[in-house]
Amino acid sequence: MDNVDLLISRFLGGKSSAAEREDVLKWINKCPENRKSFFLTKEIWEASSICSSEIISEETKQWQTLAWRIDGLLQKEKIIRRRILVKQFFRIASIVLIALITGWSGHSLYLRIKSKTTNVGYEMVIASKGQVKEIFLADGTHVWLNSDSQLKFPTEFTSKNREITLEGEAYFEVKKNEKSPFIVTTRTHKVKVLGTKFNICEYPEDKIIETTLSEGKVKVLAGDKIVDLLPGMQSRINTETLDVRVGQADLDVHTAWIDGRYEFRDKPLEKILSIVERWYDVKVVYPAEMKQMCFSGVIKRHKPVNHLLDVISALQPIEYSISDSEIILKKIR
Amino acid sequence: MLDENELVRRISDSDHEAFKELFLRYYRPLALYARKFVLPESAGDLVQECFFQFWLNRKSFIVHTSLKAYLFAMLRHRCYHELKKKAALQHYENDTLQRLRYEEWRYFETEESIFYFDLIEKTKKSFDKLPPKCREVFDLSRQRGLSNKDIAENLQISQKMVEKQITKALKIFRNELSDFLPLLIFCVSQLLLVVIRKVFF
Repeated sequence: MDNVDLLISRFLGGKSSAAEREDVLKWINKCPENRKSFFLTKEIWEASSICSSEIISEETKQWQTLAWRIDGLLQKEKIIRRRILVKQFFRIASIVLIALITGWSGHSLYLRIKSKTTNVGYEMVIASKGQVKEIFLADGTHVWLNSDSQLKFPTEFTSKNREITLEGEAYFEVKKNEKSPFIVTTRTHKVKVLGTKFNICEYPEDKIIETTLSEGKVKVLAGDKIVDLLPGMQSRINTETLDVRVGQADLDVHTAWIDGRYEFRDKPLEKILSIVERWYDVKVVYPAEMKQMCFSGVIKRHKPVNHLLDVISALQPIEYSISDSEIILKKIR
Repeated sequence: MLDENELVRRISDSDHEAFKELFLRYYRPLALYARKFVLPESAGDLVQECFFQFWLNRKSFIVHTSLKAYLFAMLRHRCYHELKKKAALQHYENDTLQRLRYEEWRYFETEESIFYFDLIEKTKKSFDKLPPKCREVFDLSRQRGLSNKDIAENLQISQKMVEKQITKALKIFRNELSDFLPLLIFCVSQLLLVVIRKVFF
């Protein structure tokens, strides 16, 4: 057996001669036991090189290569991870940026629309007592505003209608615009025109609103009534009954105030004095019995108020006295 | 020694040290196993490739059987492809060694591969059990690859004494491992014998 082991070890170590190899083979083929023994020895022979310096150095070499490959891989992974992070960052940043831009532009757009709607602001022109004002509206309409009156109008006409509000008396020369009717609203009526010249007188103390047309065509709307006026005609609306009457008018009488004159024919003193109060910014005190006394004549704005009072006192048994912004009329008995 | 599951967990966290430990634990058995089928140079590269693949898959690796079985199976696969590649390059009918390796590959099932790992572990232990003189000679012969003549000169003993020590070592080994390998050997032996004849004669 010793001899066989020697043979096998030389055989496995590649040191046996041809004759010895033949012997080994013969021995192996002799019986299954021998065969088994041979292969067991072969396995042991191969396995016993586990501690050989050759395989240890190979192990070291292979590990170095492997470690180098892994480091490279880790480096690459790190770079990829960083690249993904950067990509992610830019993706999020762009989303945020888009959101911000959208929000900002939306907000500014909203502000612009809002400012546009609120910017169509209204302007109020007030002519106090003793004043007459001349106004040019944005559409080119020319307005004279009588004393103690106010006009409210948009600084810009954007809507389809040109709508303004009047309290008191005004004379309009409306710029023609077929597409956009000009509408004057007062407390009790509306006047709708395209392009004309007309006068509206609606002082609150008067119970009659007068709309006088000098040129073109107007529609007067009061309550459920609509009246078309032709040049030289006048509508008179009773503010209490909303009764509308239309008649011929003396144009000069109703538009003379623009030139600083007030013409009146058979007007009660009450009416005349209310104009005096307005024009000269004074308070007139007089007994109630004088209210219905009628006069005809002309008041000229540039003339002192005495002038008128002198005329009145000459016509009727009336005397007057003037103190600080107050005129007192008395009947002479 | 770290538990295998712990080792795998740490490797999946890209732990370099844990991976080195795994490598040192399995490299040599794997390399020796591969050397049965392919040339020693290729064997080392194939094992390295296995470990590299393992590293690539470390994040998704799940141990179904054992780490050992997984690595051996992977190596077997690579060996097979290597053999096929070789076979494509040269007619392996003419290359009997190639043929032998291929046959051996076929008969070494995965289970036996794991067995093989144990054999090597056991061999290592048995080696420590050899008597000092015997171990010295066997070490010089098998592990340092010296010729009997060189050993005899080195140790100042006769060449016959060297051979005697080597056979003694083999006997001890066989006694230590005899009940360890019979199944494996039986499987392989029948067919290999035919091939071995062609290889060596």
